[in-house]
Amino acid sequence: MATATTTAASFSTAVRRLCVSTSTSIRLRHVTTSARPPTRLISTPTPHRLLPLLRFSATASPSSTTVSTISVGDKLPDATLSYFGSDGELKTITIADLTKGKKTVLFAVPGAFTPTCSQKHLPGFVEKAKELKAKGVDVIACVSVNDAFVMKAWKEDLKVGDEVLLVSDGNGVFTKALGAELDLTDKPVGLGVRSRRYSLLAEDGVVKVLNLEEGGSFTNSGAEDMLKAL
Amino acid sequence: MASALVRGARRFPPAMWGRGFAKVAAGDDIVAAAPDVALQKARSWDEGVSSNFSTTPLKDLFQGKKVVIFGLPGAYTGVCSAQHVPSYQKNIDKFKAKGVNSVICVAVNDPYSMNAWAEKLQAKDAIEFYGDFDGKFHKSLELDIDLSAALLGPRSHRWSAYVEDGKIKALNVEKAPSEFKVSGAEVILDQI
Repeated sequence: MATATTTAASFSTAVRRLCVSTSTSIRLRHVTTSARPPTRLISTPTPHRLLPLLRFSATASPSSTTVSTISVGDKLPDATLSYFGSDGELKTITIADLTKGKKTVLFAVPGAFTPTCSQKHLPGFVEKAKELKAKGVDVIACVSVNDAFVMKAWKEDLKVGDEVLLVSDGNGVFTKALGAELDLTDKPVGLGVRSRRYSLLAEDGVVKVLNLEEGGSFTNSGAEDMLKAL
Repeated sequence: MASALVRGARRFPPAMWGRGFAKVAAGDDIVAAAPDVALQKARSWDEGVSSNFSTTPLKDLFQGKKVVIFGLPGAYTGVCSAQHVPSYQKNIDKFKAKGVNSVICVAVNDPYSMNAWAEKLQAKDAIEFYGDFDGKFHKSLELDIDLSAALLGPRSHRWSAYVEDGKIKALNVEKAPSEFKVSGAEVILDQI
């Protein structure tokens, strides 16, 4: 499965420029997906650009790659996710950080501020967080293909504390690597490519329990079902 | 600052100075530049359901109207929330006094996030918020920018425009999305 990482240094530089109002010009590399005449320059390469920029196509065609959908017994692919810490600082965290040597419950929602996600899925896990942790779960994290800013706002809107970590799979890289993409681009709902709804339990990064829904339906990926499986 | 100017000069030939990116310029027709493109009005999911997730074609927004429209990289982000939207909120009366029919804010976000953000900023009565969820509007105008390095994916530059009956009268694009020099309300007020 494809692993995708960005260096923490280049990420934090890029985001710092975006978050803070400054008058200095940005050193982000402007790489666009449309063809441009040669007079439009890309910024000079920076020495600490170690890896190619991640590209994300909002109109991704149905995957014809060899990424198969994740299943029980698989090791979770590594990826870099982002979130806002309680200090208000934008941070990155990898799947490895979340899962290595730990019992981790990961659940994904198609979109922040959408009904099932906001009214049932996330609140369900917040409610059951204590019980899950009493059963030995170390980390509970909610993943969505939304950016970290939106995830933070959603977290505050639903008044979620530290029981559940809300992390952003901003470029959809982790979701794609899991084979859990939900392509809603041609649907009028206006969501683009998102994640299918799922919940999983990983022990030291290996999937032990997996409840992967079709699309955004909500049948077995809730907190109660995860509790029963533990 | 001098070094930034030098860097900028190296990056952009003088002919493009102050224009930044963009396929369109003053005098172009914004609807013709982005044919078959529609935007999604910021709304809650329930509103979406009851409206059958309707989209708004560009001509409905621009034809026969005087519109001030501004685009920004993302809802809930720093400059966008703290400076860009408030600058338009504060000056809404001045825009109305100059005959502007609507002030529109657009970003590459889904309409639900845009809606929640607009409500948080209490800006919905002054400004109309629209989501360019698949980035097609911005791509057509070549105002898109790849912010994957910041884990944000494809987004929009920071820009503003004054459009009269679909014709762009003024267009301001920041050289970098973190800047907020030419796309604020005060600048475009002078251009109307």
